[in-house]
Amino acid sequence: MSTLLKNNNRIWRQLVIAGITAIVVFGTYSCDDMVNVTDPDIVTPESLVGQQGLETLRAGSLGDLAVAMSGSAAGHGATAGLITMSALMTDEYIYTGTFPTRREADTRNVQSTNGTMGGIYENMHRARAAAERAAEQAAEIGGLTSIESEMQNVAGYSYIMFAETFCPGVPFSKAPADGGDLQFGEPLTTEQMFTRAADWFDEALNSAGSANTQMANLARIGKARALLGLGQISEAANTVQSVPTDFVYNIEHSDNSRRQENGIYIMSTVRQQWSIAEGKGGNGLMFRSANDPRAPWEDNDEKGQDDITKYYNQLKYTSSSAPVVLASGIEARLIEAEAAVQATDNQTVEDIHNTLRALEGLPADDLSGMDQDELRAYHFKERAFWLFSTGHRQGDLRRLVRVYDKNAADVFPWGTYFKGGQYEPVLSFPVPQSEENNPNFQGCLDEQDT
Amino acid sequence: MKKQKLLTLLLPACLVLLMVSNIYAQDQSRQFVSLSWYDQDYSPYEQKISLDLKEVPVEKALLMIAKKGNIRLAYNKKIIPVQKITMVVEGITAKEALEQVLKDTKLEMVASPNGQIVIRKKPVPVIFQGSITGKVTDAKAGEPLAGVNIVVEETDPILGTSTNADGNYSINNVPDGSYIITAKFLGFKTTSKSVNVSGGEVTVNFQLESSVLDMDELFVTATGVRRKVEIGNAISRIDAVNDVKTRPISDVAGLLQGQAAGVQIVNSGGATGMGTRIRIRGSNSASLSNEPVIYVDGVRINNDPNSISFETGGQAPSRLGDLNPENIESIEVIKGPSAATLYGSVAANGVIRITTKKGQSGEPRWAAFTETGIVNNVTTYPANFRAVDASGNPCFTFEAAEGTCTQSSISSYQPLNESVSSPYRTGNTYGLGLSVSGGSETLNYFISGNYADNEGTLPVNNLKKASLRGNFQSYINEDLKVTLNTGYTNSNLELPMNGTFSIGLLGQGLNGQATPDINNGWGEFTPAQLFTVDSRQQINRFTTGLETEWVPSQNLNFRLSGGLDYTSRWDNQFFPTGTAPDFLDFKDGVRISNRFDVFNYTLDANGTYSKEVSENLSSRTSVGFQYLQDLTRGTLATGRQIVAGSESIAGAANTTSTEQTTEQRTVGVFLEERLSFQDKLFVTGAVRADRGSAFGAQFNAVFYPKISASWLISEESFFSTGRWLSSLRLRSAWGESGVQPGTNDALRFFIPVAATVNGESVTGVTFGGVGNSDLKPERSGEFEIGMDATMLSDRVALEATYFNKQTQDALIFRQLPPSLGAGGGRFENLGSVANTGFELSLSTTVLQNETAYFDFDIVGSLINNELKELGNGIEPVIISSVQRHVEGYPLGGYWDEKYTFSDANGDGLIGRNEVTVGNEAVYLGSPFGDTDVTFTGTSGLFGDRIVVSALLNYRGGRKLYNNTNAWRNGNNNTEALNDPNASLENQARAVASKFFGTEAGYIEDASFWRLREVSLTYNAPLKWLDALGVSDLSLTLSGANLGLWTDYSGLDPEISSRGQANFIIDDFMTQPPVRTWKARLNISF
Repeated sequence: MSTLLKNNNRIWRQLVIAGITAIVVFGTYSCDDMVNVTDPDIVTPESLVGQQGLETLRAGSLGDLAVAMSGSAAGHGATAGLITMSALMTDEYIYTGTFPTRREADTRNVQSTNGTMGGIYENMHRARAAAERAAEQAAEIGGLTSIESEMQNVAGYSYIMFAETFCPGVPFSKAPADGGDLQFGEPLTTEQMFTRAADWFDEALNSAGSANTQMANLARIGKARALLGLGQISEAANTVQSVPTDFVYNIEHSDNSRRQENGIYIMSTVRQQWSIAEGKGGNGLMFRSANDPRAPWEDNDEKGQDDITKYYNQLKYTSSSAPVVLASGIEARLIEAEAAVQATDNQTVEDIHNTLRALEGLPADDLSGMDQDELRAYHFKERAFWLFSTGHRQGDLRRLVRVYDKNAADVFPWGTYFKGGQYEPVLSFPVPQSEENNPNFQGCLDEQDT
Repeated sequence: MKKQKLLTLLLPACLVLLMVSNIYAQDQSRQFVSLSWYDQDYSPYEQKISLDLKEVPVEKALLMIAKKGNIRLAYNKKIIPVQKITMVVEGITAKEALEQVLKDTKLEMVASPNGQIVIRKKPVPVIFQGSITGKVTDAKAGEPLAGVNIVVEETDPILGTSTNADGNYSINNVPDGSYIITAKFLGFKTTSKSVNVSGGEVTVNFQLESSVLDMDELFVTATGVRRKVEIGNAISRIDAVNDVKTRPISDVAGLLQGQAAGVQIVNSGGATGMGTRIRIRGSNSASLSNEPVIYVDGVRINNDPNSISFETGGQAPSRLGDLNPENIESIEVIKGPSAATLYGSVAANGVIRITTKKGQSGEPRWAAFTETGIVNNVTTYPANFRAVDASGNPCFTFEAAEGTCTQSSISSYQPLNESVSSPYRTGNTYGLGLSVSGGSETLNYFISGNYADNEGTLPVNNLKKASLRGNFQSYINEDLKVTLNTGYTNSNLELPMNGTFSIGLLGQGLNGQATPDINNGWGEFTPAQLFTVDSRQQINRFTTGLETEWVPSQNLNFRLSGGLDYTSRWDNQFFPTGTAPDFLDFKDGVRISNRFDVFNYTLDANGTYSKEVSENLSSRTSVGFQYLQDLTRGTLATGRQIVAGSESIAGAANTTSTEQTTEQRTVGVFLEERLSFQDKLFVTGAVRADRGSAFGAQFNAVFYPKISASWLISEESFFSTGRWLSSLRLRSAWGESGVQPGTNDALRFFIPVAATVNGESVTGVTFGGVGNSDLKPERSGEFEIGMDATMLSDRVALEATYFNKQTQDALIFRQLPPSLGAGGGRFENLGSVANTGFELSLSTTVLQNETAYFDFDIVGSLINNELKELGNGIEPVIISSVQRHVEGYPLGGYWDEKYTFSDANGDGLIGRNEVTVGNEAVYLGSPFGDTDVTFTGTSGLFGDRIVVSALLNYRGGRKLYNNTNAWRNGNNNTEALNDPNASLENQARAVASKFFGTEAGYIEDASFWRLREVSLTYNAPLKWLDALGVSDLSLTLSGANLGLWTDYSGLDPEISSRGQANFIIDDFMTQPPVRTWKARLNISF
């Protein structure tokens, strides 16, 4: 036993000395290595070079746009997108859930602290910045005009969405991927946002050239949409003349991850918080009783998520992987029709609409006896059904007020809100409070500007 | 027969040994001759010499005499005293000179035949010897005390031993005579008795009284075990052994509740298994975790708050809850940067060191307990209201006020409160445990096993936990000790769908119907539907540490320790196909299976060299090295559309998966120097240097200095102590430590995501973080000054501390404008946070006699938290709709626009035109409060036969966002919006919230008094113990959360819907604290 203890003693002493020595030596000479860690869950900018890196950036940008526009199933309470949230501001949907931030949109009483809106604002800027970054990289690499044009288009559409749904005063900032200094943008007026969008579409058109008609048509429709916002109606119509009616560019969704799922489907069919509206706020269109195949719905005799309000489910998007149309040839024709309305060219308007209606098997309408106001009302109703739940309606209603001088109280849902209280006279989303961290922040440049 | 053979073999050996011993003794007697009779023949010894020695060490004096007297001296340096002497003489002999030097020492001189003078210890005279035996017990509890040091003073060498597990001791070979025998034990007053030994056995028993303040109490520090008197900081120590027996304790946080000044334990809700937020001396960081780091037996452990990966509505456990309080010996709380400097870049929020139980030498000692209890919901929930007009349309109070409708009927109902619909049950709790400890001179052990089965107040809220622990200490020899501490925990926590979750139970009730006629009063889903969901977390946790302590000499010791805390966590949620709530796609079957492996490695090495510089000054120098690594790997998988009858993801129609990895490493070295002046004044200086994996590329290392002083002024000769003031220590410290940022905070990076292009799934990236290459750790510096005093014949102990803690380079999560499209923001070292405060611990023995005692303790703190600076150009950081970090105000304060109201027309109703809202958000208060005081009274009756104790806690200066009410207001079912009898204040805040967007009315005063604990313990009398053959038997009845007094109108002033989130705190449909009753039987044998 004594020997054993002595041996142990010696062994332990040697171990202690060896251990301390090893630590000191290792610690002295390998300090850098000891604190050097790598995280397999992140991707550094240096990894995203060349065409392969650009393809990855492009895919990410399109994913960001999908989240910003449609929302997704990810996150607590899922993620609302601009399409659904802006639809609450208009007559497309009523809110049948319990989230106060979403109900604020239903009454057009969105506070600058509204978290749902803040998330959408951030997601849309994320999509824009990612597209601009990818477009920049594509230009640096050269020869990848299709991707370059597509990214320029995505950037342009993000400006369009800001201009159509937010109040004037949205800044556009930049965080260079190479680690350069942050660049804080100045707030832009609505006109400036539309103009910036048009500029992007010009670049996209230029990048696409004559070979890539898909990207070129996407750019043409985008530019025309911007021109509509600027009140340049006939120029808009001219821009989309060459776009075929069967053209379509989709925001794609997939059920491969929660992030990619179609948030419109999630918020309506799955969560039953967005119920298709009927004559909302008096001025709203009769989306249900019209029984129009362009805005399909169903009544399963269910209550919404609030368990109080009768729920009517939209059937335009019937799965979490259903795509959402960003731009289409139908929209191009509708733009041409709007120019014809502006010219009080009843026959052209009638021809365009009846041709389109025939695509869905809808009967032709006779517009011959309509004055311009009636013609415009008809046109905007048709647009509303064609472009139902695609993020166009709020821009359309605001355009009626901004460009066509309609009274907001005659256009937007107005008066008594069905759950108590009143619809507010605000027509756009505020710049979120979180943007106050921008030293150039000014809030909404004009609270009365619609 | 075997014994005889053995004796036969041993007998010759013994004879040989005796002979050798005898020969050696004879040889010794011939070798050395006492100078008293030999000096006549030794002429150099009589040589006359002169000396002029002033304040020289004894050894130097001896050498000088030897040199001048031409004497050859031989001695062992170790036996020469270190004291200094003065000797100025002329014409004395060398013998006389040596005699003078050795006069007051225990040395003598002898001359060898070869003329050498040998200095040696005086031999102990051969005298009769006896023995002292006895037993040491706790004067209050009567329990035997193991490990008490017993010392017989004035023997040479000093004789002593320590008590065994039964409190018994025995000291043999005590020379006859009169002595003072002393018993010393941590936490008890040192007690001495006189004893006469005259050859036989003498019995001396001790009943030790607990000490209100013990300066010799030992604390584990980064450099080793140190006495309290040496430490310049306030450190709290909780002795857990007795607490777990007599208090309604279910977790470690419960042990800490109200026990340490400046330590705030905030429960996040009443569901079983919920975690706890711990704040020590306020919140240091605006952005990083403010949780302290925790070491168990020297191994840093996983203390993740909100440790769950699927949606539970804010109900989340903390990994601290995995620890079994039954195995804990003591907990030390090292409160601030000045004390935690040597813990480096992880310790600015304080350090909690937990020491588990260890074995004691002696026979095996068994301890067992069994307990059972009940838990009940004690909250009455607000009713759902619905007012309608004659047509049955909603008609709210504000509309009635504005004349747009007329209310004709009002209904109200709350299914949570009604017995016919309430889902609440009386939960039962059970627990049992068995431990054995003991040991020998070479090996001590402590082995325990525990099992607990705790039901919550909802049928799907249960926690089953089993734990094992084995602690072993091996004394390889007298200078080498090896300790192995190992613990294993297995737990299974089941949580209900509740809290902020969209279909949480409380939400279904609080946003339910105003009548039982619809869905039994529930909202969209009934409890039965919600209870089909299986949400659970399974933990397998293994914590082990190996420590080697080597003391090669009295002055030198080394300690090398390493450990691993491994947590295997499985978060498992299942929505069964067909029966799950018809919400989202749950009814189609959803299974979430997230597995995490968390590794926390600790490696420590340090060495300490002590030196008596002089009689009055000693020095102790420590150097050390530390390596910490935290690694988390997670694999998260979800399956949707599960085959009915199956729970497996394997059969799911749609599967998604992802991974999570985080890793942090820290390397630190430190140097500490402590000087002690006469064992009364201690000055300590130290510095630690750290490198960390999360530092920015442009930043290399950080240095944290500290200095502290502790002065036991009452030991000074000029200080007069007496009955009123028995002892007084003054202490002060300044030091720094830090908190390093997160793994990727310094980097600009993207996050990989799946995307769909042309109908195919492809890889994509989205922007992850902007990063900051200049990032460095937060640096918290703290100055504290305090005093410890005992008064009134040690009946009162007072510890008071003032601290001023400043966090510089505070990592501010600079909320970047979303227009950058680059995520939420990034960390920058911009800010400065101040925490100043005063801590007080007062322990009093109000009454103590043979039949009863009453102790009354107060533990309290006043803490002022302020964000001093956010950095140039940084706007206030908005962390929630009502909480912000604003310069000049507490972190995470509540902000919103104030409003005024007036019932202008006097109709008792508030309309929108009767509310006026301010233009800008103003500060409304802090959810953390500034005052926390706990009063603890403990009384013993009939000696210690019956012990009653109670713990009352006050928390003041705090606000809480009553988001439950605000949310219900948004859903129109509050009393304020429907009932015209609602107070004007309630109506006004409802209107202000609903139409003017200010929640100011729901930021309520949440100060409260809570009777947290009451317990009654019966300790069995000695005759029972003798009859049963056990050493200890007690029965405790205890209750928790027995009373609440507050003006707060929400569910409870002490809940948070975000679990243990850093700052965001609100009352949002979280299960309030429940009431617990428990009976526990303890037995030892």
